Amino acid sequence: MYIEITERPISLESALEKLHLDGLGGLVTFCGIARPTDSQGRPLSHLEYEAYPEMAYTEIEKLCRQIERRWGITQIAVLHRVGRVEIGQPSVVIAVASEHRAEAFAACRYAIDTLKETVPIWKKEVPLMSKAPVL
Amino acid sequence: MRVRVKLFSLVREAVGKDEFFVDFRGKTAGELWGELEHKFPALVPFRLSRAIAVNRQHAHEDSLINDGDEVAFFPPLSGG
Repeated sequence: MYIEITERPISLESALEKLHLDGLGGLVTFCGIARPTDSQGRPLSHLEYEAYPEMAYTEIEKLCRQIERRWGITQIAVLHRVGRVEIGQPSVVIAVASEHRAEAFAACRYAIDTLKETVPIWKKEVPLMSKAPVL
Repeated sequence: MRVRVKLFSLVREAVGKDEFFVDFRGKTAGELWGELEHKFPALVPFRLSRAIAVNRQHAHEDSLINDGDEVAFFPPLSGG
């Protein structure tokens, strides 16, 4: 299990580096990316993420333990950004490896769904300010 | 009792503080929130949506507070 909450950019590659794939047959990854618009379609400048770090680590650790108990999976990496995230950049990356693909898909889905429900992290959408017209 | 209060995201911005101590004579997290609303009326709009953690565990309105606890209030989670 590898958990990181960081102000630095994250990538699928950085998550994969943390896993031991020896003897495993399935690797599933999820990458959440900062969207260019809000739910109303208005353009965004960037996102700002804030965490309650000590509790966020604990909650991510809990969900990893649940995955271990339910699917027997130990190879899981969860990386989440805090601070300013530019549009098009990853805000969260999850990688799960297991012997067979079915458990890896299920566990990866469970990880991101549970993270959104239980991990104390907040996203702020910062609107793209339109320039004042030149008169 | 003395309680450490932590606020996050929009709740933090409404109050303008991220962390402080309060002397609390009540029993539950909900009562503590009520006292904070008195002190910081900007919290009132968050009454129905805010979530609670006590000592870094998800908690609720009726969760009991003890001396020295860390109690966090925050808006709905939106990570990912």
